Amino acid sequence: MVDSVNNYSRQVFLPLESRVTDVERFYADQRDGVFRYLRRIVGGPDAARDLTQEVFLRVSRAGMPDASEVGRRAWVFKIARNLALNHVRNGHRRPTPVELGEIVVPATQELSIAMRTAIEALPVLDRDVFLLREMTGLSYEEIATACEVTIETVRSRLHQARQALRAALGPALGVREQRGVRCIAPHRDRDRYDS
Amino acid sequence: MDGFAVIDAFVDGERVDAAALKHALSEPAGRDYLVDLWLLREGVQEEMKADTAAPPVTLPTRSPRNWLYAAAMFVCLVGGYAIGYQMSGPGSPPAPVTPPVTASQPASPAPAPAPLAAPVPTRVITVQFAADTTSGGGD
Repeated sequence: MVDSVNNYSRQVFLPLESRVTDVERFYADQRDGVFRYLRRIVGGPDAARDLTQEVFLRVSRAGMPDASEVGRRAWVFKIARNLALNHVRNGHRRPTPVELGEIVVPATQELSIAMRTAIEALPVLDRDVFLLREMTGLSYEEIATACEVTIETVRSRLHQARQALRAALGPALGVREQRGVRCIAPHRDRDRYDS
Repeated sequence: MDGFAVIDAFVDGERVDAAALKHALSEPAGRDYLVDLWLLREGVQEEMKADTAAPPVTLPTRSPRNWLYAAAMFVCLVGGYAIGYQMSGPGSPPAPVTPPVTASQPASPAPAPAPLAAPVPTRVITVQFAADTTSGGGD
């Protein structure tokens, strides 16, 4: 009797526990990237937090797909992107208020504000491709899967986005250039796993 | 797409054609573009530092509370059955079944049932016999 109960417990609980652990580990790796991406699209930290929560609730409900780490990452950002687009489409977007007024803004902050404005002005796909590349460190292949486009489209859209940002931020980039330049990789939350 | 797309791919860590990259960087505009890409990336990363951290997510797990509810319900059912069984006694005859009392009956107490007897007559019929016409003579 006791053995049968234990066997039943194993059958009922172990798959669930392993699934939750898998999702939690994956969540810990991807949480910040998803949040940053959503924050830029939906405009405010509160909505981005809610949507980040929603993304991982959906992930936990659906279960992790039998795919590589790359495939899973692309899948999560695809969910995040669809949620964000629906959120914006439903008119929930509240842009972060930026009051320039008479406040003296430091040069770095000025670039930050200008960059945010320029990113918001990009076409949706260009913006998403750029954010997924620079803020989450997704590869071209992952971005293509997340945005449901080809890799060639990713290349061209990324180039267009950078050209547009460069044109919009020209003076601010010039100021920054005086401080010098260094070679840096895009932000990646998963560096510790790739090494 | 102009010839600088190869610089984008190079900056993004993709494998690119070396000759195409050399050609793109041989132009001053290409070199300016490369520097601007680094500056742009640095600006994005500095802006990201200002973002607040993502919230902890509470993943749905199977709560033990459901099991507690089910266990409490089971204990109530089994306990109620056991108490009822003990109160009635295992060998006692079953209780007599009383007819259900309906709400339409009057509130006054019902009269005690009368012992089994013939009902009281409501009308008495007296039989009067006429003269005997059969015992006399006559032919």
